[in-house]
Amino acid sequence: MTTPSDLPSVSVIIPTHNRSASLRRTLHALCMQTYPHALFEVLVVPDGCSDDTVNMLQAYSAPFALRVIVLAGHNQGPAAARNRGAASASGALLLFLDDDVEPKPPVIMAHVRAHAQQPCLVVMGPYVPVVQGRVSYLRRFMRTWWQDKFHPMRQPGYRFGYSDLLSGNVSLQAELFDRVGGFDPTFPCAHEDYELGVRLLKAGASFTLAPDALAAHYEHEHTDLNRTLQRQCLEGGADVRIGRRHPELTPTLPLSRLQEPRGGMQRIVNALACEHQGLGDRLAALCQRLLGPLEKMHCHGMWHWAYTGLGHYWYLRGVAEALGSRQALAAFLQADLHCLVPDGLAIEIDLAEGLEEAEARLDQERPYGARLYYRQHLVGHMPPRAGAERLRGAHLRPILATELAWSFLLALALEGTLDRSQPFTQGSLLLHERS
Amino acid sequence: MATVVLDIEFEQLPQEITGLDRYHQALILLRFRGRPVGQATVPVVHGRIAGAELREAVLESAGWSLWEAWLHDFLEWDKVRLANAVLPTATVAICTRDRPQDVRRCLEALMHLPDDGQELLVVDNCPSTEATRGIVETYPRVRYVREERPGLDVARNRALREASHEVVAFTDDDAAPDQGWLRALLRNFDDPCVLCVTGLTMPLELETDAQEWHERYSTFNRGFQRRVFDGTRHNPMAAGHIGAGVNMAIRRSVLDLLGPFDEALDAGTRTRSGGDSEMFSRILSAGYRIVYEPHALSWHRHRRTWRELRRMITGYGIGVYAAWTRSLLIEHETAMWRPAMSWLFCTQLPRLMRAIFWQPCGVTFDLTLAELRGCMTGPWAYLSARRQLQKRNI
Repeated sequence: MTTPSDLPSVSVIIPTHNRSASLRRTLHALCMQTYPHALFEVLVVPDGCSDDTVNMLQAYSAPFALRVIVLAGHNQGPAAARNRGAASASGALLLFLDDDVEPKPPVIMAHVRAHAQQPCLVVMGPYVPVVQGRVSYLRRFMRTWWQDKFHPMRQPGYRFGYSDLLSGNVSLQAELFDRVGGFDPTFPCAHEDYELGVRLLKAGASFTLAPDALAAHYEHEHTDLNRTLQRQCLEGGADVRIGRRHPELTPTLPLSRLQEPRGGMQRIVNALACEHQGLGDRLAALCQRLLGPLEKMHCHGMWHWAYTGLGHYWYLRGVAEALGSRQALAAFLQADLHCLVPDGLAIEIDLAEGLEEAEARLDQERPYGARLYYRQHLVGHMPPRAGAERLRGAHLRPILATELAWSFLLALALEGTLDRSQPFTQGSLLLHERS
Repeated sequence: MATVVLDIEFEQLPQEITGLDRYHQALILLRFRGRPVGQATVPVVHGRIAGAELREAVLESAGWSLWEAWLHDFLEWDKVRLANAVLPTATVAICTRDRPQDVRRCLEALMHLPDDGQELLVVDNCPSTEATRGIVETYPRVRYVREERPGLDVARNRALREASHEVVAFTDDDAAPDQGWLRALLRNFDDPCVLCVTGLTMPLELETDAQEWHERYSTFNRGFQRRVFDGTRHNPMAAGHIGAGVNMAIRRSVLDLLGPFDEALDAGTRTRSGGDSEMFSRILSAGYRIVYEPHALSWHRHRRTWRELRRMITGYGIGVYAAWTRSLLIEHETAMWRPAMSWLFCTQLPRLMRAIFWQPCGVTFDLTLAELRGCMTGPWAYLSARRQLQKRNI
């Protein structure tokens, strides 16, 4: 049990842009925190606000230290705002919250507890959309997206990657944040968090999800179809930046699909986004107008298809805008071939020595990848993956239970392990080859 | 001749099974360390099944789910997988109407569930005697609720409102859940998008022809592989293969999110069934998920007489089409046309044709005709049940 004197000081940093009412809700939620009010400060960074945000903040009486750092002039983006907040923060721990996120009372405490388990940790708290029940197709799509983002992270053997860093409810040591250089402010309002995730993983940080650091996300108040598609466009541009800065990640970015389009539709969308943008934009606008009637007619399948197609189009438009020409795109996609994660970084593990031993070895060596054997039989690979955390012992059983189940069973049968312990034989296993 | 239903553990396959003189075959549920992994049908010769034959049949039929179960056990996978899971607590609800003997068997089975703090609730629906109350009173852990308005969906809604826990696991009164039933259902509520979980239902007995035909014609068994149903990948209106109300658990929040069960559907009304599958459709079309979990095993006593069976099959036909009628009229779902048409023209009518040509007076013909009759009257039954409900509510 941690006593109050062991508890670290926390700086909560909230970048905001013209969302005064939403921000007020976040501040109210911070007033309800179970964490001692004397131990945390809140830094709000209004970024080019033209509404009453600054006045509201000046009039707000909070039970904790509330500091306001106004970024004047035009909107500089959340990355710059967060960096500015972090630069003025005095806490040992930085907790970044978005202005449309309402943290539940134990959030700060949950982040602090998670950090107490292990040093050099990046702790994510789930912030799931509040919209529930029967809502529009777009809301439903977003709700599932967020839930599916956080749910796998809670599974014990989940292998975290850079795109798991979501900046709406995340905490890390101030020292670590400074060491990796903070957010990259040149990013256009999208995926700046992913890019920070890349550098954090490279710096050896571990990611984790603290399920009790739960927050409610009022995304629906500020996001509509137009905004979602605009965001797709920004994400396209941001991904090009990520690829330029970390070329080894290019194959993991959705834009790498440009190289080998799957199906005729994708080919057409690619061509429209890269070469015939005038026509493409008109078709996209038409398609967007069709979404409403499709929803009215309850054609969910068609809506989903059209929506993902539109998203894909605008994403590629963003990519094409950032790269300029088709030649530049080809060069960009080629570049990654030279900087794949070398397979030589994988270690070899003999599972016949015992699962616990194998797990312990993974935990100790933290390799990029592993080749799994059972005596002389190859069971399979846990490949080195660009932009993902290094392997841990916890990653072993999930992959053996799912992807490698068949080859692992076969190896066990061929080595006679099954025969000794079980009433069935390798013959019966081969008989039932997985359909 | 009848079929004997056997429940056999793979690691304790008997050398020989004897004393089955009344039976001509055996339906065997195969388990691996308690988990259902497959089923096999084995002939009974002179009242016995030889060990070698049993073994062969079992290995033949078990397939991948047996291997998977073995491997998961070897890896202690369940323990690992659920290490961080936050599982909800449950209320087990039995909705019953004038079947005291069945309720007794069901409660007896529920007494064998490991105690994880679950609440047990019997909703006695419009009873004509006090017999059910009398039986429930002999079980001090079980709460008794009397619902005067008739209808299975009325009783289900009452159970959802009365329940004190987050998930309500429904079992019919004519079913007997297995020991691991509730835990297996609850495991799947780890995902917040999952609103409903259904389980595997096996026949409790196959003593009469009607029961054998029930199992053959309209089994509750949906296989031994876990499946996740999602509105984006499955047509929400084709909900029949997800499972049935006899063995399902639902998050109580559906009441607020999607509304209660439609009280114009299911047993006790003119529609006679369909309340469960209509709820499945609603859950899927709202973008939530349903999981079919074969480890959540329950045993169902099928109808014993032909009359009951035929009536039940007609009821299924009515219920399915009544539920689609509701989806069209109330939810304005147009996706119901495709399964409704394909079921009628690609399943029911060809089946009827085959029956006419091969066995004009046979059993399949009789049952198919009964079901088809139900399909035709389904939409009108729904409208009439709705009118009746409105009249009663005035």
